Amino acid sequence: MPEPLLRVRNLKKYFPIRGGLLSREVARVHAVDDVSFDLQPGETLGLVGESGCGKSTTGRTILRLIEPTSGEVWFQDKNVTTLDKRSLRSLRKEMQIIFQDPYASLNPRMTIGSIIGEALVIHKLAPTRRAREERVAQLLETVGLLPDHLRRYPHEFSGGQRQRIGIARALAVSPKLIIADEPVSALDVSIQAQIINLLEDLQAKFGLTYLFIAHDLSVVEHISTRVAVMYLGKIVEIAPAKELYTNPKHPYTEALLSAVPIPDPTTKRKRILLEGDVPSPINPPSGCRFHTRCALRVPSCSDNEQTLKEVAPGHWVACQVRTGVATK
Amino acid sequence: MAERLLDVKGLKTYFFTDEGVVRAVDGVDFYINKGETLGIVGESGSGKSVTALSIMRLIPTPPGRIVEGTIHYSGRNLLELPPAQMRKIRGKEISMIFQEPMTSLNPVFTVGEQIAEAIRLHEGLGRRDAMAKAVDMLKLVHIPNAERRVKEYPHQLSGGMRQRVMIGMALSCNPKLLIADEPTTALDVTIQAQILELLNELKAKLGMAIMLITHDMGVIAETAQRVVVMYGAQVVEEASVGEIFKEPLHPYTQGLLRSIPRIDLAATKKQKLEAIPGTVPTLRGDIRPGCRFAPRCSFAKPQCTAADPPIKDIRTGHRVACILY
Ligand SMILES: Nc1ncnc2c1ncn2[C@@H]1O[C@H](COP(=O)(O)OP(=O)(O)OP(=O)(O)O)[C@@H](O)[C@H]1O
Ligand SMILES: Nc1ncnc2c1ncn2[C@@H]1O[C@H](COP(=O)(O)OP(=O)(O)OP(=O)(O)O)[C@@H](O)[C@H]1O
Ligand code: SF4
Ligand code: SF4
Ligand SMILES: [Mg+2]
Ligand SMILES: [Mg+2]
Repeated sequence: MPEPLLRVRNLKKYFPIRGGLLSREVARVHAVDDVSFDLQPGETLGLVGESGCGKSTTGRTILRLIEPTSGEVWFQDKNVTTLDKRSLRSLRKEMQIIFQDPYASLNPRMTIGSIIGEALVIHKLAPTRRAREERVAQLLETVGLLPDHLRRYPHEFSGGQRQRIGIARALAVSPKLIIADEPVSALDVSIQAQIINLLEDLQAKFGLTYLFIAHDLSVVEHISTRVAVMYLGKIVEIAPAKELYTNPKHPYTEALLSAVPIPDPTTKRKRILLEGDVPSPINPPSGCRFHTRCALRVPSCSDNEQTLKEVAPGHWVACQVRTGVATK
Repeated sequence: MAERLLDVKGLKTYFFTDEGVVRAVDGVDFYINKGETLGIVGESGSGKSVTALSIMRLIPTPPGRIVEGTIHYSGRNLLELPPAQMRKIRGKEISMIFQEPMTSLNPVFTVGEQIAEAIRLHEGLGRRDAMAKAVDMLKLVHIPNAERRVKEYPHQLSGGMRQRVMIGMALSCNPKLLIADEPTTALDVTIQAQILELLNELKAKLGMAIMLITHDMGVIAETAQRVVVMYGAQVVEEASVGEIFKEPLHPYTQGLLRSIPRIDLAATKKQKLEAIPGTVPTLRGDIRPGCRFAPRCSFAKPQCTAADPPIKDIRTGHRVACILY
């Protein structure tokens, strides 16, 4: 196996909640709680889970847009978590992010040309104005826009076109890794497919590696090589995409997959309806965090912290019942 | 023969803004039978919500106005009713739930007070009886500890519970038609599954019809009996759920179905998604005659842009607006 491009080890992010007169820390949101995984060059790892489970926080702490509470992130041989500001900035050439909201993530007062060209200036990648404009025009073409769009402003573009601009901006510095945080969630179904296809084409063309964050399980299945499922700050299952979708092992993954409505009225499936809501990440349940909603739980589930165990090559599950450690 | 509950004909709702006229709904026809679930799908901005608000007569005027058409409910044209009579229909005969439950619940009143208020308005019950009925409604929508929850404020509830409260409130006067505008779009899939299950259960129990607006073809497949597909403020296709998936006729419907990734086919070989090229049309300003899907349609011919393609019955219950048929 080749060297991983990215290694995430025991990553934690606890957000303090302050209260009282002295603004003391009164509690902590366990947003990301001991997350570890590798990213192989050229692969797409999908990160799924319900709202608030810590997907975006994971993505942002990897880039140190949010400082981690503890844990390590290695990009090739560099420890991202200990880099100083300057080295971190030059590492941003290698790792880029695309956001969900193509409206909010583009400065409305900047032309498309300066939005995409900004990073070229920061990283001194285009010595002259002319070189910069040429590169921007080329990037616009790469993402399926017209080169003469570069003098226009974001409001003149549709949602899908703005997402293309966001992708061109990320591509400007020729990164190796792109963290895509819900890149198609705000788009219409017919436009989603355009962006998914574009991301796939760019990956093939430039050998990009993606961390693809989304709550839409069908989109993630389509684009990912491997998929990790998060619940309350932890990865509960990680496996090759096909394996995870056809042979899920964690009771939460099973319930999640069975809840996706299938666009075919002739298929009839058994749905696993979960009781209640996701518990608060401020005081997450003890032991296995899923035990408050799990139909398979045994008494020890509320005591034993669960860690990932390999059940088949590359297929890891954090459930003592399903991995045969505990039985009824 | 199924009995018609609602019949919308030639509906046009426009917004007269400083930047020009927005033809949000531009000649829409469809009907809903008693007790059925009609799904309405379409891209963002295709006029789904404005259609729903027109039925409720809740279009903000100005800038909006229903400029043409009729909406018959149980034989009466809602567009000709005096406001006082329309208020009686709204909530009692037809009620609506919205995409974002937080914006439609009042943050300063408890959920019980809000449901009880709706009940008192329509059923003339006393304060105590209305509150007791509010507790019953919360139980109906499976909110645990209903007696306690009824005294809580909206912000104390999760998104899924708020949407349950909205459904409870909408159903408190036994409407015959529930308009649900993207009732699960803001929710997680596991919560969506709970809410759709609840709607199906309540529909069977109470015998009401549902007009379900969604952009999710999976939700349509699992809950609706018939579907109306909207594109650019118009209806482009209408069919039973079985037919729309098996034999979609309009090129937009066909493209839409081919562009969605299919989780149920995960075991088979991956294929590239077939995206529909181009962008969603704008409804502002002058709209040229002809098919609004033409700029994105791979079958487009000169005659497509000469005049609006009329909607034609292809077979019983299956209509399409496209010159190919
Ligand atoms: N800056 C912050 N301060 C405090 N809590 C935060 C902060 N950012 C995120 N959180 C909390 O951390 C948890 C994880 O949030 P995160 O945004 O990572 O979730 P997510 O999986 O991306 O959800 P979504 O699908 O809704 O985008 C949530 O409970 C969230 O409320
Ligand atoms: N109050 C308003 N003033 C001006 N234009 C409006 C107003 N309300 C809606 N519109 C316009 O009417 C058109 C149809 O909007 P509508 O909300 O019905 O779309 P929709 O199909 O419900 O879309 P979505 O899937 O995004 O909810 C849009 O172009 C919208 O911008
Ligand atoms: S460890 Fe126990 S509670 Fe957790 S998923 Fe497995 S069976 Fe369920
Ligand atoms: S009328 Fe013409 S442009 Fe419109 S959908 Fe049919 S073939 Fe395509
Ligand atoms: Mg997020
Ligand atoms: Mg809408």
